[in-house]
Amino acid sequence: MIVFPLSHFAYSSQEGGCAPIQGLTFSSAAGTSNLYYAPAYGLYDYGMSMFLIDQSEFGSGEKQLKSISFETTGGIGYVFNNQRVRLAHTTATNLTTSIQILSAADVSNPATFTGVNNSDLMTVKDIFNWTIGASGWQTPLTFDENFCYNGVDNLLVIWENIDGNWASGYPYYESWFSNTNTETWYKYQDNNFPTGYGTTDVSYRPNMRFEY
Amino acid sequence: MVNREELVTKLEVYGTVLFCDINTEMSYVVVMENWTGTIDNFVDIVSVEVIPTYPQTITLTLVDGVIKSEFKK
Repeated sequence: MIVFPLSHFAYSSQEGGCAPIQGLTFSSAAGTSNLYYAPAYGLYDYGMSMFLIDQSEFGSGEKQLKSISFETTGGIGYVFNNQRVRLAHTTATNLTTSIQILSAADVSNPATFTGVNNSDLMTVKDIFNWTIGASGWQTPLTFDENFCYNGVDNLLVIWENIDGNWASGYPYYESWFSNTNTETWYKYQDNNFPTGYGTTDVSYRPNMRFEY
Repeated sequence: MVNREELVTKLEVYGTVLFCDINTEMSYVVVMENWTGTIDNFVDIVSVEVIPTYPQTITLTLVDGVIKSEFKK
């Protein structure tokens, strides 16, 4: 007789040697402040933003992250073309003004940057068009490749806006207010994907959810 | 409430209005190109026409003659 361990049946799938997908959703610390410029600022052609989620928010234990979602206000039907999402582990607890984009992103290549330590940097969702739905939590953006969060380090979320055009009617992002750690970094501009140093925000970080 | 017609008239002295209206109910956006004035000229105009209704300046950039600005209630 073959006996399967209970864990064999307990989860829906298991990929890449990571913890199995548990069918749960992690919500980062959340608030009701409106953030305008991150993850993607519709007023400008291009941009890049980073967010830090502390391990203490995630809790210990591996999580196989399979999607990301943001909470928006307004901008129904607005489309951000050519977006990219990347994730990495980091031991950094603050995002600083020393973060520098070294080479611009395009639809074929992600940006290179320095100034924040990271490991396992992975493009989890490559070039896609993001259509904003009704105000509230947006439809989760399912990753092309799941990310195995290790439950030890902090999580670095990187969003690239490679749209190349701006338009009015863009959404705002519901965000968490805290002045404890600097967990948001951004840079945006017209005409070309930005390079160089960006701006930090100690106060606001968009609300995020991850399915795992 | 912003008097858009009066605002546009003042702005067009210095450049071409690409967008001048509410973005959502929470903010007002002004985008100009071929701006021939200074940033102070722009600030002087919006201080009278926009800031009373949307007092927080969220974004204000002037790059290569293009002004992008957003104001929040």
